[in-house]
Amino acid sequence: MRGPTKSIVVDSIARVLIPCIFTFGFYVLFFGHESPGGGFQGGAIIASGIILSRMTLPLKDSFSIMSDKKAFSVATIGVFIYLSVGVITFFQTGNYFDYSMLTAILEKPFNHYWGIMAVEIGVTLCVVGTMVLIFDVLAEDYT
Amino acid sequence: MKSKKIFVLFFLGIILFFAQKDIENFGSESIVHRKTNTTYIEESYKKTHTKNVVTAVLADWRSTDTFGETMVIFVAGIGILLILGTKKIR
Repeated sequence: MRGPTKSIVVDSIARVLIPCIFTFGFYVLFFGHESPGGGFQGGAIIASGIILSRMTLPLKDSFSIMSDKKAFSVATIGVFIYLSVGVITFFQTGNYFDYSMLTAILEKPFNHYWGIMAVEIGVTLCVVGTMVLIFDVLAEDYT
Repeated sequence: MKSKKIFVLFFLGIILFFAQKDIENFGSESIVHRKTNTTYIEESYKKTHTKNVVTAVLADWRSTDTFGETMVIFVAGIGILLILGTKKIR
C-alpha cells in the first residue's frame, strides 16, 4: 500500500498531481471567507494529497512532506492552536471565543476576520494530522 | 431477539410520528424563522468582515461547537493510535 506502485504511469501522473492538490487545498482553506470551503474541507484535500504521495512516491520522499511520527504531533498542534485562541479571547474579553479584542491595532470586524482564520488553520492541522495518522496506522504492514 | 428489536423500532416510530407535528413549517411565522436567520444574514458581514455566512456562523458565533467537532476528530485519531498503532509509529 505504501511506497511506489508497479505502474510507471500512475507514479508519474501522481508526481504532477500532488502539488496541484496541495495548492487547491490551501486555496480552499484561505478563501473559506469568500467562497465555500474552510478548515475541514481544506484539511481533507491536503490530507488526500499526502495520502496520494504515500501510495505512489518512494517512502523517503513521502516522509519528507510529513512523516508518520509527526502526523500525531501536527494534529495536537492544531487542537492547541484552536484552544489557545479560545483561552486568549477568554482572558481578553471574558467570553470564550469572542474575537472582538484579539489585537489592539485592528478594527473590530478585522479582529473577527483573523480570529476565524486562526481557528480554521487549527482545524485544518488537526484534520490533516488525523487522516494521515489513520492511513499510516492501517497501511503500516502493507509496505 | 428479533421481535424485541421490532418492538423498539415500532415505539420509536410512534414517538417520532408525534414529535414531527411540533416542527415548524418551512418559512412559517414562528420566532425561529423571523429572528435568528435574518440576524445572521444582515450582521455577518458587518461584524466579522466575512462574505461567507456559513463560515462566519460556524467559526464565530458557533465556534465552541466547531471546537467540539475538532475534538471528535482528534479523539478518533487517539483511539486509532492506541488500539491499532504499533510501537514504530507511537
